[in-house]
Amino acid sequence: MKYDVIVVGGGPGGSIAGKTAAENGLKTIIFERGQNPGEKNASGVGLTPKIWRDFPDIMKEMNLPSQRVNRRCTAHFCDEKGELVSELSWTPSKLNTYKEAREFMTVMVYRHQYDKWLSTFAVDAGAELKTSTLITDVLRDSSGRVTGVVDERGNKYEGIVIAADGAISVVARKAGMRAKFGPYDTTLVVNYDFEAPPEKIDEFIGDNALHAWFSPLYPGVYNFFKKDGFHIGLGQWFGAITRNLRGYLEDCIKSPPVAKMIKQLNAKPREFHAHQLPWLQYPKKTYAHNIMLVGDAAGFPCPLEAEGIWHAMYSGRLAALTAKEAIDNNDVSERQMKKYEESWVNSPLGEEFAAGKEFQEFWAGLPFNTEKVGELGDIVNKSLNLFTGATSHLEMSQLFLKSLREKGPSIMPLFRKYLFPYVFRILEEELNDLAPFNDMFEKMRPKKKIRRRN
Amino acid sequence: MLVPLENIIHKLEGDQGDFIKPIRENCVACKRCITVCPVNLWYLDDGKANIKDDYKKLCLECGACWQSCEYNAIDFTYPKGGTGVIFKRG
Repeated sequence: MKYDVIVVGGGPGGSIAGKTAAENGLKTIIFERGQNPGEKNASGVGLTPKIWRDFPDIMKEMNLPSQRVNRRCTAHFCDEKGELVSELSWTPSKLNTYKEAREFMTVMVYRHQYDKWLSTFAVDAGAELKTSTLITDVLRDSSGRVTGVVDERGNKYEGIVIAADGAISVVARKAGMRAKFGPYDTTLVVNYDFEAPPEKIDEFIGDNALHAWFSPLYPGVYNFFKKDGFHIGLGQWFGAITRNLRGYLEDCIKSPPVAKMIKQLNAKPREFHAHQLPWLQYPKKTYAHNIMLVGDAAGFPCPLEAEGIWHAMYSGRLAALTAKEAIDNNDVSERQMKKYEESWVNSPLGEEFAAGKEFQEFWAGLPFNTEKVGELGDIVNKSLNLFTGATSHLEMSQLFLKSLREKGPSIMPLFRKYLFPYVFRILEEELNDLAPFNDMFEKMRPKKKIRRRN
Repeated sequence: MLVPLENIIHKLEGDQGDFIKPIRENCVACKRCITVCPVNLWYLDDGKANIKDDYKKLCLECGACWQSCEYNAIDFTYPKGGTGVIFKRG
């Protein structure tokens, strides 16, 4: 069968690719291996304001049963026994340049609702949605060039291929674009969904719907609240997995502050998930002759927060627009497809990777490193304790600096390696040394005995 | 384990096909698959990795075994369309 565009995968990337292609008059088909879009997909699922900024006509209509608006994030720092030591909490910044970003941080939903709802926009635009169908191979011409895809029953479909088929992209594998991601390109994420009475969540959590837990007991845990339940999960790069991740997650769930929260909400485990989440420093090649990769298949999740839904939707649209141009030019060559990569590189999506290396190394080196994350929690606690009534502020400052000096050999290299570089990268200024910081610390260090006031 | 996994892992009806196959001759018994599998489906069988006979009851199709194997000793694809795991609250 002949189509202009074949989209493999009915998640957010596939649906926006299909919608955009159909709106541009292209004969479009979307393949989904589940019985419905979204039922094979799991993640924390926090939809960011960027989706409202870039897809306003769609998002203004969203009203899903599971959605909960998140206006406050809280990071909990716990000790090696999982006991709570410090907490930081924040609302959206006034620096944000548009309304939605000032109003909320994320909207939490379940994927089986969101993805299915999003797919209706593609179908309404005229795309054909074929569910319960697994694409197992690419179709090639006599010279070996990819011309389409083949399904599990051997049916052949010709057209430009937009692969939106996730981290383990069958299309990317079969087309020879990659065998698999490397050990520090993709993470394994395990996640429990808990159900809880909505009124309990309203009372105790409300719109403080995003929590993160850090402890030497487990790699960083996310905890996202929906209308009638929550996700609690964690991920780790394959190269760094030394213990079964479900064991870590259950240690977190049983740790005192999390167990208390679960009891307070009268929450019960409802579903267990596992999936792969690409988390790259920079995406690899995202195009080939007649093929474009979008979303997780391309490795697009943000290297700082591992958010991927906006990235999938945004890249899906760009891929469909390139397909339109290719059809108009009657050219599906690699050179034509390269325009897709040029378009995402020079877009807000490409900007996400401006400091991708530093972001990825920061997470791998500190919050997800159970041997080091304790020091991060320690420094947060000591900084907050500069505000104290226990002793003079001068004495506490001196104790803090003494501790920094003593811990210096272990803490400062981490900060120098993981925190400062990305600040500098963002500022786009190469600071040759840390003179301003040294000066600041030097001034804070008492040189002589403080003269008492008479 | 918080609750028995079979209580909180849901499957669609229908024959899933054989979508994970150990390739015994390539296995070096590094046990990566045993460590990573979130639902503990792998074990050592006569010095080679093997997957439980009833793996289709709990497999979440995450592909962690395949991804972590550096010796090309695991063949992974997806179950037949419309079958396999369903995440009702994914």
